[in-house]
Amino acid sequence: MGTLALLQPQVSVDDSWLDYFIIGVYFLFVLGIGAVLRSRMRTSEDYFLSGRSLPSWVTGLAFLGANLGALEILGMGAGAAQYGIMTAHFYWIGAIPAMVFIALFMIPFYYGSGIVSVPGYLKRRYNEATRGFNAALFAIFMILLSGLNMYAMAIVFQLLLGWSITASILLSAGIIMAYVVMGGLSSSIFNEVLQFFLITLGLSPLVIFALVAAGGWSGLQETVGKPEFFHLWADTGSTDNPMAVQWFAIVFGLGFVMSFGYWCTDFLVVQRALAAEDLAASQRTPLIAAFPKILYGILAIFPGLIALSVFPELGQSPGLENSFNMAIPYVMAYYLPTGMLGLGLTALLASFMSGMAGNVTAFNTVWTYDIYRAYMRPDEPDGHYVTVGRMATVVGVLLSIGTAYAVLAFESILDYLQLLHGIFLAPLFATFLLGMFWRRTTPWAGFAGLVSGTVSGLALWGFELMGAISYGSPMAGNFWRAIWAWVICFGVTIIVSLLTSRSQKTDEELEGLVWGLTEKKEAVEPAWYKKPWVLAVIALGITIVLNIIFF
Amino acid sequence: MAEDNLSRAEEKVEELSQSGGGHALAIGFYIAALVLIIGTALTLYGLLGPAAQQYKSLGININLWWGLFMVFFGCVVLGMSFASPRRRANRKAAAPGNDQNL
Repeated sequence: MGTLALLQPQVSVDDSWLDYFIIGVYFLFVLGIGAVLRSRMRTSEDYFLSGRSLPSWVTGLAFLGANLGALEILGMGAGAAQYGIMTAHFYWIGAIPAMVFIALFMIPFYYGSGIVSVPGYLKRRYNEATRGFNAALFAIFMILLSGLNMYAMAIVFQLLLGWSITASILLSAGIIMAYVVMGGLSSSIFNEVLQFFLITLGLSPLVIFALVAAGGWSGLQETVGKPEFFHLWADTGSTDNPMAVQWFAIVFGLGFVMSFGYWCTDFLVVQRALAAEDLAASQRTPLIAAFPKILYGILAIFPGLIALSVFPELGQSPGLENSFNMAIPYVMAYYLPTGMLGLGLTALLASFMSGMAGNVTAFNTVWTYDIYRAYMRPDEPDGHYVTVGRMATVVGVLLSIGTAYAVLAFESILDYLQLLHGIFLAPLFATFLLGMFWRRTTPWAGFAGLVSGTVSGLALWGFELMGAISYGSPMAGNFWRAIWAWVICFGVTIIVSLLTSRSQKTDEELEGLVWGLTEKKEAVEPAWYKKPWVLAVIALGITIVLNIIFF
Repeated sequence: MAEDNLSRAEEKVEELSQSGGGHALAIGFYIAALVLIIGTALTLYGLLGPAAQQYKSLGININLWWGLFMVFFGCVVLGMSFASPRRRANRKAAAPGNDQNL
């Protein structure tokens, strides 16, 4: 019975030549942009940093585009179907405050110190070992994510259009390889901007029509019949809510550790801000991204809630095709006729591909700058590193294909994504925070903290797998694991700093890397509506209002 | 810092006029073109395609209406892209990266 109901949308997918035409047009554009950019890639700065020449609306939308990969879209839809509107915490307590923080405090450091990568900062602030550890970990993280993207895409297209898994994986891998090899980071960024428009144009009508069909917000609440799914905070005094977490774990675990960790230290997004043409544009990048991000608390979450009203059986039986991950694709197939379906699928395709391309460009930068140039061939001419970056792109895509097949059984994309984020990024954020705001932090303390935080995150996850620790929901596990990984990294770094005070770097060496020792450069920005703090206050204000409306 | 910004912005404007946009390419034109092509295809299908396309979407011809919206949106992006490099050049150094309100 359950499966029958779920098979329904598949049976009634009405695809026609028009849908394939739309997908084809998109592919042509993607490859065309790569081809046009190819002739402009002269130096390694062109290839890896887009020559630091992009206007802030481009980097801002790319910043968001890189974040709104399909894993995020499918994952948030799945989260909404599984946990209700509490999933919007990822947007309205998670993302926005962190995005404001990175714009106001972190970007001046990154941009001003002239570094090209996050591991690059770690090297200058701490030491070679810290950089090497982080670079290697990050390269693995990117390949895992890229493979996941590819696999999830293949599943969606198999279920909706009947494409074979191998064909989808090879097709997307081939196209991404072509355009990243040709255009480097610029290619990736422009495709993220395209993707942003496509996914917004593809999801908006879905949300509007589905809400109309359900009889508006109140009608939707009635149809779903689970009142606890429609409150952000009201039930978080205890663990008696869909996510089984209290407000403390949400605010500290998700709002602070996980979100600040992701937005401030995930090189994938930071790299976009660094491609901006000047400091003011770079600071504006996360703030411009914050406004559409607020909107995505609705665009990505509502289809998941709507899926519950149309397919209440979702997530009740095993198999990825019955899992919450399919919430958004099924709602698309249910409401969109041929034509609009093509647009929706192109939007998903674009976000899968730009997600992967983002992972691959971050991978090739970190590989080339922080592993290859740092440890293997430090003194080659500039053009050599462009060639190596292109080769790293090919290798990165091939490795991703491998991981795509390796992760054949994961039930919830969102949980998996947050698992990876908690282990890789939460400790890193503690290392950054102490490095930037406490000058006493010593090089080896940074290394010890980062390693112990990462290892304890992995260990906690291991205990959970063995059943030694359990939480009310996988999401609660993610929050607490991140909190502990962060706390342990934070604590170990402080203790080791106090024990190794002699190996501290001099104030001159730390200039530009630590808050108190850095001359504050005010970005020149004459227009009041473009001043960072004005944008920040507006974004935070809207977010607070939304938290109250959906309290 | 201020002067530095000024000279950088000037260089950028020169670059723009020489190479037609440097890395900033004319991404706006690509967005506009993609949105216009898809929007036009949807509109035409909404007008000329089979009537059965409406059964899913509550009897509303969503292809037609969303197609028209996309055509309109594409035109707006196109217009702003045309206006933008000139605005940048006119304002010269006053404020780099001014086309952000696209």
